[in-house]
Amino acid sequence: MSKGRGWFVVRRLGVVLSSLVAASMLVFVFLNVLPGSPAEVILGTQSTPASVAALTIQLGLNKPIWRQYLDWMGGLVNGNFGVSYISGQSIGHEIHQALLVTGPLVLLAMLIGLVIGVPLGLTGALYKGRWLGSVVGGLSQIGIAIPSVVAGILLTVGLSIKLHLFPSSGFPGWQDPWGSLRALVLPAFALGVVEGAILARYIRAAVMEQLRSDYLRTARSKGLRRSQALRRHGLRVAAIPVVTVLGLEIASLIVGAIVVENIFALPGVGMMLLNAVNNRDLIVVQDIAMVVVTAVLLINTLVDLSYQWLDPRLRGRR
Amino acid sequence: MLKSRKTVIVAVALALTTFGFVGSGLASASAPTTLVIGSQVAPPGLDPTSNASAAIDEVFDYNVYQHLYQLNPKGQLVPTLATSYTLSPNGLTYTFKLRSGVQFSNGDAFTAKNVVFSLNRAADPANGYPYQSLVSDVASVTAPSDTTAVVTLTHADSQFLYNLAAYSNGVILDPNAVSTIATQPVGTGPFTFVSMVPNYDIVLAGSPTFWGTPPAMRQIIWQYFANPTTMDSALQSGQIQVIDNLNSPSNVSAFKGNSAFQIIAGPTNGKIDLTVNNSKGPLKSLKVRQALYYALNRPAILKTVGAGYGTVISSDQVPGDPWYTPSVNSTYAYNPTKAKALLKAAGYPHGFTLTLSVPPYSYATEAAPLVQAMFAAVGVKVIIKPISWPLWISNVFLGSQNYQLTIIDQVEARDIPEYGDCSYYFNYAGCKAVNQMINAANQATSDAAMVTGYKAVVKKINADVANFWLYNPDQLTVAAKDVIGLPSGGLTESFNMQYLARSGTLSPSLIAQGFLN
Amino acid sequence: MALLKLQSLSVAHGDLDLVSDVSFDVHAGERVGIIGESGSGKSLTALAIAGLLGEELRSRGSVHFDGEELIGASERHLSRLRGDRIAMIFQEPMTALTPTKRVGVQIGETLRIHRGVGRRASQIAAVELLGRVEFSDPQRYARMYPHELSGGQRQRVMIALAIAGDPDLILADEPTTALDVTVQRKILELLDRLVREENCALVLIAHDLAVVSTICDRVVTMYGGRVVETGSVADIIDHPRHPYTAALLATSSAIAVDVESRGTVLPSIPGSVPSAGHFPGGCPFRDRCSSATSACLEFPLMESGSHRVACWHPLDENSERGSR
Repeated sequence: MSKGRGWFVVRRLGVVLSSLVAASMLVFVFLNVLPGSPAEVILGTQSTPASVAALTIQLGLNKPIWRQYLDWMGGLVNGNFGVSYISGQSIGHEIHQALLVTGPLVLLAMLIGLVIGVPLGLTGALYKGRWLGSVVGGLSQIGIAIPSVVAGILLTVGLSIKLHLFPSSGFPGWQDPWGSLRALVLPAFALGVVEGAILARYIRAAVMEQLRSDYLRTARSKGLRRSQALRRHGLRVAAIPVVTVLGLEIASLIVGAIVVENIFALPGVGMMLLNAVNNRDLIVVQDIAMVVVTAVLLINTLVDLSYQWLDPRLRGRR
Repeated sequence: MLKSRKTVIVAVALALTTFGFVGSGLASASAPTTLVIGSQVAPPGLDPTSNASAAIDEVFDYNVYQHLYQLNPKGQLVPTLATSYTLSPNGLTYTFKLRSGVQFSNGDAFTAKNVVFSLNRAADPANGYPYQSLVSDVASVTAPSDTTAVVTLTHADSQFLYNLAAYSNGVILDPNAVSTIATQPVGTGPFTFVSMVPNYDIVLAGSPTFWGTPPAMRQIIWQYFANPTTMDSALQSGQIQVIDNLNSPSNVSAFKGNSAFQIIAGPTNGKIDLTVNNSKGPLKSLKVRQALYYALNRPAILKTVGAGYGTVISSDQVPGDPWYTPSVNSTYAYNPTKAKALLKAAGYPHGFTLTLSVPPYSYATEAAPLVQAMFAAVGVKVIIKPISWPLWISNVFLGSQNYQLTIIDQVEARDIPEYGDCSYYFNYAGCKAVNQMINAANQATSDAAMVTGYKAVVKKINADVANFWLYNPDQLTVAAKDVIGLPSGGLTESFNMQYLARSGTLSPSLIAQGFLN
Repeated sequence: MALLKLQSLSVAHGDLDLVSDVSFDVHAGERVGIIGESGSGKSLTALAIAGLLGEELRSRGSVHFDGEELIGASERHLSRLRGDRIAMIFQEPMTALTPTKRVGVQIGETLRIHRGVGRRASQIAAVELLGRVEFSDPQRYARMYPHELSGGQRQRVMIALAIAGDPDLILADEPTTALDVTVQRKILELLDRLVREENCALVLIAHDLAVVSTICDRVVTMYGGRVVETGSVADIIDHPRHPYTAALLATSSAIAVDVESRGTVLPSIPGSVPSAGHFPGGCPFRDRCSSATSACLEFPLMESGSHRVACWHPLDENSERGSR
């Protein structure tokens, strides 16, 4: 049994690694066929065919494409993200700084999503058919319908400009932990509200299924009240579809972070990606893509592992 | 307290003759010494000598790096690291007298050797300066003494000193700091670089080694907002004190009539052009170009796209240019009837179809549908094709130059020589003639002759309708009421921060140079 | 005095009665079988007794348990009885056990709820209970998850779980239906033995009279949500009076052999059970009944006595079965 689980982890890691290599090739090829060269963007309207050619050589972009790929991958394997064509800055350091914004932002959004979604979903399921359930259902509908851009702007106007409770934008840096946390609250809310509404629906459906299940009735026949039975016997199984959605939602949160960082002027990965694409800072785009792909793959692996922890029926299966 | 303040002001007023700045920070110890400036486009790096990005120049030029001569907000030359210069009668040799006692922020001394190093570095194409072509006529740079630098040109160039002052070619560098120029800028300016969070902010501090009067602002933070609405709210909520330029002028309505803010509309070097590919299809015909230029209601475009802030122009000129000829701007006034007649005369009574490539800038995307409607009114159909900036450079500006019309703000100052460049993307048929006219004007030995020469070019390209110049946009700076020392316009790449303060008053000499009280 | 007394118990979904006017008694230690085809309301009756009806169902009438009225009692009150004094065994051992909890924990939980027993003590008790339901290595099985057990093993776990609280009444809802025929008999024997040992009352629901006849003292026949006949096992098997009971008897596997040995083959019940709410008015069996007359348009009153039937045309008390 434990050997089976070890084998599972090894296999998963294999899948993750080969996915990473495949992703790196895709990202690299896609970006290299993207029209517009870094040299041209650097020179802007000062570009001439001669100056572009000279700069292309200076940047090493005249090397064969496989060579450029191997140079890049070689660096990544050694933990070296390279140096930006455009800014000349160390990309590893920049990504590290950006992750210190986006990481906490996404986690906070997820937390807010859970804080909103779990009680809402549970209430919706337990009070189904009563007025409280309908109110909850309506709220989550509204939450899903609101794009995080709109949520962001509404929150900014309401809590920041009118009430001065939170800063409307910006990020002081973690040397000021309290200020940084305050700066992340509104953006995380903008992301998390939608997240919470989606979670609420999945949790409501999963819990309702549990409430109808035979084993919950068995648990009640032993003398547990409905809510006790749900808590002790139902939630763990209900968590499985919820964890799946949570895993998928983290990926969509990372995408959402691009929009939200833009609105709230946060120096995160999304902002960095957007600017790098605009500047054709190819290595930066490639590196960020790889970081995001790695994060998503790791999260998927964690989700798979958590299934095994949550549901003994899945243990030993590969 | 009142009395002591008065004393200080009097004392400083005496010092004005030297550096021309009222040390307002000294007058009132309680006035804030930190300022946050908001801007929309984050600099892609820190090095103005390796990237043409205007956002880099805006922060670092004049503020961290200095030139021998610099431009004041009115676009006039002001001696900076040089104190004076002489020009040989043949117009080939500039002899600069240099300021002494100047240090770089790392403590290295500034001498004529730095001038030799910096200008040679700029002139060598291998170093990839974006404005290298503007100094390609430098024959030699020598340093006869620590305080004298001599620049010899291959041919007379009346624009040489202006170009050296206006563009990053002219920044004076410390050879010891060049290897880390991408991450640790070192200059002689009033500010030093402290830190950068990419795409987010840049922190500058008053330089302890600066040779002039220390700036009142001891810390200036540039904060970047990809979303203009967010930036407006940041100013409204007091998180930032200045917005360098409203990219969407219509956003000015958020601040207009609010006594907490000042709105500064000042001239720029920009020319928002409906750029014409003179070599493509019907646009080859002068009559067609004239017709379409008559079809454009440019005052209406300025009013809608630029919120009325700017000047309608009919050639490649702005009010700041020495050769500015206002009378030219009254040509091709909106006249659709005449446009239709000219199209008929050109053999297009039923019109034709044009493609308009639109880069992702707000002025372009806002102007495109107006152009489409105005051309449709005279029977010419316009297909709007959005295009990304990198693609715009690759396909419109360089390479195949495969476009018919595009909309772009040509931001460079005094860029009329581009009409003499036959490989330039206008594909203007009169390029050779213009090139000769410009060479002649540049070699003119008197300013009057130079100006006359350029005026002729302004008129020629207007007569040939080499382009559809729309308007010269204003820079729209919005700031909290208490901020003084802001530049009155955008005639320099740099956003000069040396005289910014949040109390006190500015000296009359600075006000005369175009800094605002 | 009866341990359990049902009087006019009805279960409704909205305006629709799925169980109507059910009345019968169960005495302490007595074993009562409820038979009927699926859809006849047997399971709903059992769930209504335990107060475990789904949210959308409502019960009315009276369920007296040990002198207490259970209809309308609070969830808190009912939960104190469930597991402690009234236990249930469900039909589907596959789904009736929580998949994420070890078997021993699930059995022990009853004791933890009602006896305040600690985790360790409840485990020792669970192992002992597994031994009583004939697991050869109860220690090992206690640590297993339901999906690691066979259907028969799971049903034995269900039984262990039911007897854990030493209840006065077990409601067993078709405990063998989902199992292989070979396992069915063993499970029934086990249930029979344990109920005897515990001296506990049993309500055994089955659609097969043969199952009921081997264990029970008394039989209740239900059809269309109503009780149509009740009597002792001997009464019902030897002298069914309701045509429906007689028809069930005829289709019952074990007893059919008996019938065959007498040289008579009875046809299966003609027609099929309508879905809930589509039974005809009056006697719900009338459109499947060969003896039905216009009198059957009204539901007949139950007679009194130990062997009672609700039929306008009951089979003769003295005759053996319909065909004779």
